This record gives sequence, C-alpha cells and structure tokens, in this order.
Amino acid sequence: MTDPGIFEAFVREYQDMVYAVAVRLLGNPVEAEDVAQTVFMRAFEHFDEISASPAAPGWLKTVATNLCLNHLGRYRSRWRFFSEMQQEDEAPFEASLPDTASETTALESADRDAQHAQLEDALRGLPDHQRVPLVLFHFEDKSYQDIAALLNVSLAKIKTDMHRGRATLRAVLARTHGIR
Amino acid sequence: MASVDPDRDERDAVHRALKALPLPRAPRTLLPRVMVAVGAAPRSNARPWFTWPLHWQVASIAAMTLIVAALALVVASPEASLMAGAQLAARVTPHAAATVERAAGLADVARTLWEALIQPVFFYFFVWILVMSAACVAFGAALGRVAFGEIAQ
Repeated sequence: MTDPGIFEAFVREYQDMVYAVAVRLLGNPVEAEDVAQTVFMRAFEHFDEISASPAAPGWLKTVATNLCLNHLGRYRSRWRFFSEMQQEDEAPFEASLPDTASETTALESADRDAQHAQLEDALRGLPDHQRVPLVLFHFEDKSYQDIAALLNVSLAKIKTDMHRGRATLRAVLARTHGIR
Repeated sequence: MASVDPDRDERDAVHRALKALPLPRAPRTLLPRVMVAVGAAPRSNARPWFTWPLHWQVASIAAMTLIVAALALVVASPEASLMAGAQLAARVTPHAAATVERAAGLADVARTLWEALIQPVFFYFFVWILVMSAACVAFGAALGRVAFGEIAQ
C-alpha cells in the first residue's frame, strides 16, 4: 500500500515538470492542470514500480505528452494538424503582437521576467499545429521524424509548421529581447 | 562570422530563448487536487505477475507445473490415478479405501455423462468461446482507439 506522505512528496517534486509539459503542449492552464492531475493518478496506480526508479521523470513526461496529444485530438479539431489554413490561425495572433514603434520604450524598460512571460505567452498563443511540434522539439528533444510519427503528420508539414511557428517567436524575440 | 544557414540560425536563436525560459510553476491547487483524487480512488492490491519478487515467481511456476502435471495424469488415466490414490489412502487409513471406491463409482458416472452429453459439443463450444473472446478484445480495442482516442503509453 502506498504511503500518502511519500506520494505527496513525489507529486511535490515533479508537479512543476509535469505541469510545464502540459501547459506548453496544450496552451491552456486549466486543461493543463486537469491533465497533470490525470498523470499523477496514473503514477499512483504504478507507484510501486516508478517511485524508486530513476526513469520516473521520463515516465511522467511520456505519459503527460501522450495524454496531452490525446486531449488535443479529442477536444479540438483534429484537422488543425493537417490544415493548410494557417492564415486563419496566424492572423489573430499577429494582430495581437505589440506594434514595434509604439511599444519599444515600454519593452525596453521591462525586466527579464516580463520578457520571459511574453515569450511564454507567445508560445502558448501559437496554433496547436505549430506549438505542439515546437514544444516537442525544443523542450522534449524529439527529432523531426519522431514528431511526425507521433502526430501522424508528414515530415514536410511538420517542418513547415515549425518554421512558421519559429518565425512568429522570432518576431517576438526581436521585439522583446532585441534579437535579430 | 555570419552563418550561411539562416534557418539554422533562427532555429538556434529560438532554441536558446525557449530553453532559457523558467519552468512554469504548477498552480497551488494541483497538489491538493491530486491528493484528494488519490484518496478517493479505489486501489487494487493485485500486481502484475512480472512485478512479483523472484522467489514468488519461481514458486508460482512450480505450483502451476505441479497442478498441470497432476491434472494431465488424472485426465490421461483416471483409473490408474484413482487406484494410486486408493493405495496411498489405504496405507493412511483403512476407511479411506472404501471412500476412494465410492469416489471411483462417482467418477464412472461423471465420465459417462461427459462422453454422452458434453464431449460431442465441447470442441464447438470451446471454439465459440475463443471467437467471442477475440471479438470482445477487438471491440474493446476499437472503442478505446476511436471513442477515447487512446495512445499507447
């Protein structure tokens, strides 16, 4: 029988990591918290096997990733992964980007935390078909091939989506971090 | 010196910026939610066989082998098994021999019933059970894939 105190310490140790995977993949804090809870419920069911295992963080990340992809596939339009209608998705986000001239002074005075928050928001604001492969590539260290297989999308489509997502993030970086 | 691959430069710049982001903090409500959910969830004590300690696995294999061997002996030659049992019992207690003889009589009746009623349809019944089991497994897998969008963990 699992000791609740030990399990609580386990959750406390890994909750930020699991939540980070979920919130970046889903782009929605409320849904991410639901998924993180489900991840830890799964961990509780297998706690005897994973509690002392050095593979526990990897196991949690894998379960969180799979649950998020299930969630995206179940509750959102799956065609978003396949759609070529990026214009529709990108237009509102581009429109929400701060105007360079009018915002430069304010952004220059912003501290590092604010810059991070802006980049994090920009990442979460990307459409699913751009954000998910970017998160898998940059945070989960998946290869292009792995991502294409995981999302059941062609390699060319993945590369195109990631390129467009990076271009959007690069624009945010240019405005907030001064990176050209 | 400037790189000749602007795509790679862009990828590296974005990668560095994203990697520099601090880990988002889990909301303070997550831990209490998980502990409440865990407290409410029924937990089975059954563990998969491959997670048992080694000595339990060896013991379970030995026990299963003994049971299967004994069943095979009884099925292959029930009379011989009963006689062997009777002789063994006769050594232990004189009353046991009579009990074993009555058991042998009952076994004869059971064998007659088996041969007359069950054995003719047993093969078809067994195949039917197998087919239905396979259909249930296939249906469950399809339901999990289509309705619940399961991805293998």
